[in-house]
Parts: sequence; C-alpha cells; structure tokens
Amino acid sequence: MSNPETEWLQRSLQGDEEAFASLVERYQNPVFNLCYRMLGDEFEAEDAAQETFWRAYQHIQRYDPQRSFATWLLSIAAHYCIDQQRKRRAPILAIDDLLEETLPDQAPDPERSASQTEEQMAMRKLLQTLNAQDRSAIILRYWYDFSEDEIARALNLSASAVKSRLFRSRQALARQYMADAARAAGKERKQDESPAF
Amino acid sequence: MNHQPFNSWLYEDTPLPAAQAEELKQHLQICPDCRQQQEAWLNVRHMLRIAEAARPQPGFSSRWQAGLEARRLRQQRRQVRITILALAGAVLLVLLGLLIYFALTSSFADLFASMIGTSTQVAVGLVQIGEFFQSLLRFLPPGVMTAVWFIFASWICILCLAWVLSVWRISRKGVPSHEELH
Ligand SMILES: [Zn+2]
Repeated sequence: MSNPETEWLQRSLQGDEEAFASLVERYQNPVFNLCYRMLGDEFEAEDAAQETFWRAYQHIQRYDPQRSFATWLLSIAAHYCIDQQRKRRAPILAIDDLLEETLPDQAPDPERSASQTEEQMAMRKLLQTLNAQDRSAIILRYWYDFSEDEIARALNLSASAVKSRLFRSRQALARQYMADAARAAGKERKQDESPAF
Repeated sequence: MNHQPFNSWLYEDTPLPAAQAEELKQHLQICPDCRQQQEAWLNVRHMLRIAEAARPQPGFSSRWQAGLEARRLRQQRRQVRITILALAGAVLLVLLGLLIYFALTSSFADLFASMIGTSTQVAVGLVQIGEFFQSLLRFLPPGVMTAVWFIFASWICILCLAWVLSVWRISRKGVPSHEELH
C-alpha cells in the first residue's frame, strides 16, 4: 500500500472527512464499475457507489488495516448490490426510498452513451442471466482478479461454495453465449432468405 | 458419448495437469459438442477480460461530500426526534407510575380529599396575590396605572401579531419537511 493511502486511512480512522474524500477519489472507479456490472444501469450504479462509500465511512472502525482497503470496499459494494437485486425482484414501496432526496440532475453523457459498444451490451445481457451472487462472484473473479478465497471472504461464503458457484456460472455463461449466437445466426439466415422486391 | 469428466475440465479455472490436458484434447477432437462449449466459454472469458471498466460521471467525490452533509443533517434530526420522544416517554411513564402508586397506596376518598385540599390552597394563594397587587396599586398615582395598562396591552398586541405571522408562515411552508418525516 502506498504512503499517502496509508496516511489517508489513518486519518479517516480518526474521523477526518477530507482524508476519506481522497479515498473516495481514488477508489471511485473500481467501486462504480462493480456496481455498474452488477446493476446494469448507470444511475443505479452511481447511487450504489455513493451508498458504498457512505457505509464505509460510517463503519470505518470495522476495517482491518491488515487487509486490503480495496477488497473491503468492493465487498461492501457487492453486498449492497446483491441486496438491491433482491429488493428489485420483490418490489416493496419503501418509504425511505420515496422520501429520499433526489440526486442533482445528471444529463446522460452523449459520448459515453455512444461508446456503449455492441460487445458491452452483449456482456451486460450475459451477466444479467446470472443471479446476483453468482454475478458478483464472476465479476470479482474476472474484473478484479480476486482469488476464490478472496471472493469467499468478500461474499461471506465458504471457499467450496464459491468454487461451485463459479463453475456453474461459467457453464451458464457459455450456454447463454451459444444460445445468443444461435439466435443471431438464425436471424441472419432469415434476413437472407426473405425475398427481395 | 460420455462427456464426463471432460466437460467439467472445460470449465476449470486452473491449468490441468499434462495428462488430463492430453485426454481433454483427444476428447475435443472427436466431440463437437464439447468443442463448441469450450469455444463459447473461451469467448466469454475473453469478453470479460477485455471489457472496459465503467467510470462514474466527473465530480463523484464532490457529490459524495455533498451527500455526506445531507445525510449527517438527517441523522442529527433523527437523533433529536428520538431524544424528544424518549424524554416524553419517560415523563409519561413517571406520571403513570405515580398514578398507579397513589391508586395502590391510598383510597379513592383520600385522593379526592387531598385534591380538593390542594386546589383550595392554590385558589387561596391566587386570591392573596391579587389582594397584594390591589393594595399596591392603591398607593400608586393614577398616571402610572394607565402607563402599565398601556404597556400590557401593547405587549398582548405584539404577541398576537407574532402568533398570526407564524401561523401564516407555517401554513405557507408546511412545517414538517420531508426529512423530518423520514
Ligand atoms: Zn463431449
């Protein structure tokens, strides 16, 4: 861990808000990316990433300085996103959500929307076929190079559970990929066969 | 055709031992099914590896700091509300306790009698205070009396005005803001 980060962490542990803001600045990208891959929506990802840092700030005393801060943060983010997905599946009108203040207006960035390549869309669709916990395991494994043990610690699962989840997810992703490819091929064939006037 | 254990090996994350790798290779040469799956998984893994990391809109950390301020305010208000509620609850409990205590330790007639006694004492006290002021006023010149009444009346007017103003403001703004209901 680099020196300024150690200092920010120490100052954050003593309640220094400025120091924590520096940590937010430093880790915003990996946290946001995880939330985005989990939730598949830019605005939901922003909310989830903000919430992740708020929770980390509130519970900074629970952070074990012997471990990686990034791992701790990503674990908070993953748990939060898994919970969000569960809530989304059973939508309950939470009074808290209704009364929550709206974020400052954010116009969608045309540049970024345009850069949503087809491949990224396909990636997102593939990931959405997994359940939240499997998805988070796959994301942590392939985007963040977490080992199976690290994933197990981050998601509060046993190492063997992570192993079987990852295995099942790889299989599911491959099957989905084949199904998508077959559907795309079928569509192309149909277009070719359609009579031209 | 028996696809196991080769099909499972396809999805292994760690490199296979040389002997197993050779067996898998041989199976893939004769099994289009497993070959197709392997190709699919390798494609997915490639997609996962090359996918660009998404980044938040600029200003993420300043938005976080602004949010922190708002959340802290909300927390403080919640704490104040909880304190007030706890205090009110404690007072109510004490009163209830006293009521029960009196109801258990003294008969209803005693309670009634002591209530009458206390209220009589209070009334007598009030009358005495009134008499005191009346006798005081008798010694003052009449001009002072008028001035005192004037000051008293204007204070009442100011208070009424302030009350009307605050009622008007509350009715316009709606006092319990949404954070307070939160
Ligand atoms: Zn096979």
